Amino acid sequence: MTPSFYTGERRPSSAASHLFSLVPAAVAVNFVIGRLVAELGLPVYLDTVGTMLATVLGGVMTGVVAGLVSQLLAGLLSGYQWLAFAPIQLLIVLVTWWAVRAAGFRSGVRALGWGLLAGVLGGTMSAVISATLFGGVTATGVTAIVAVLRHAGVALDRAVLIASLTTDLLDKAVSFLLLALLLRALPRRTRFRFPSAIRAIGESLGP
Amino acid sequence: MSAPGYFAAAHPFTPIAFSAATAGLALLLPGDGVLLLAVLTAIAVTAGGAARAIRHGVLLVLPLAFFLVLLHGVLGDASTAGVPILGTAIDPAGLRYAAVQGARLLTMILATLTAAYTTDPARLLDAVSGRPALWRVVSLLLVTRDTVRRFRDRAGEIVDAQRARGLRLRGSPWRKVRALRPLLFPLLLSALVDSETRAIGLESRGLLTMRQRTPLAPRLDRWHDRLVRYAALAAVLAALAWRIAR
Repeated sequence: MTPSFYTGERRPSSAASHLFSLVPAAVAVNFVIGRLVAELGLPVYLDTVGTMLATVLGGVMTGVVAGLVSQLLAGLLSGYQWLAFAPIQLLIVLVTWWAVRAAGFRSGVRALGWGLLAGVLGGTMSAVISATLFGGVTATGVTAIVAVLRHAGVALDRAVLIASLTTDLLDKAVSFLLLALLLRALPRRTRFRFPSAIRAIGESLGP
Repeated sequence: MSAPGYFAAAHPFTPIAFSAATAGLALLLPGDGVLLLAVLTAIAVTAGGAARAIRHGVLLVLPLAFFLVLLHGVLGDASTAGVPILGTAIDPAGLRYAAVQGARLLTMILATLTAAYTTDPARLLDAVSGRPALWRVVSLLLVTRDTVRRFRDRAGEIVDAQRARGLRLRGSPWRKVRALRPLLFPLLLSALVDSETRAIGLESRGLLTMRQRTPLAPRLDRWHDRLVRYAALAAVLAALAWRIAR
């Protein structure tokens, strides 16, 4: 908070302005990309790309708010029970920020590696939440895999873990790869407005 | 035109409190209690004028209920306690678990949809106008909801434009993966441009100021609205105390 020069009134910092400008766009990206991919019939969700983008451009706090608002709006459309998966959004934000600091979007291979790490962590957490709170029943695609594994005699907990890991590994690997491609494709003028985006692709702010 | 139901006419905090308390109770109550709660919620939602939430809620819970029955009733521990029905061993304990879990999910979905259907965004903003921090949270949610709608339309336009340029969305998985880039990049880039424009607009209109705002149409908080909210809070606290003491 800084006092206004003219009125003395307390004004919000640029961080608040960042939140209000980036978060709605990031959440919209999560929703719309998820729907586009579903229409294409691809076996991925890509519903955290907006959260990752917000993290890369605005930092951890912007990413956390984008992730939570995304989960909250998804919950308002289809039930509060999906709020239980909010910790996964937070986990994705942390891994993405870690990748930004390590220039993890410098090349496709590096982005893929970070995506696989996010997939392992996110898939494991998703399996724990799904098995503990929902009896292994969540998104239709994942639960269909669980059912097939159960039919093959795999124990429920293990079936949920295998199904979650399979889908999350693929989903997060594609998400990170897509984000790396996008960051490199950004016009220089846009990229230079976001120093962390430049850091993420391993470039420097200098001439 | 029919009169709005109780929830739509009540103070905006009332349906939200009802919804949050019902979801909390669905988590805290044991098996039989959840089944009863699902019935009571359906009655309250209908009486409160949000009956269409029930149809929508049932549609949302059906796929989840199907998989619950499949995983726990049909593919459960039928080898030990299976009851043969239509050539399949059904696990009665698994079926019961599926019924309770299905009721729990249905209750939470009904609670959510009731709040979503009966809360008027403009009235909610008016109701929180005296609390700057809460006002910012609510307006962030509403701005986001509007942005999602706008982007959905824009995504349709991008799909149409790329199709007109010869992009094919059907065929092999590889072709579909290759279609991602021309579809998603314009959308992501326009999201960034949109955020920049919004930042300028928000700052120039003082949307982020911490000054207290004046509501356009101040909403009366009637005694029975407050009673419903306190009753909702008391029910959750009682269920929590019972759960801890058990």
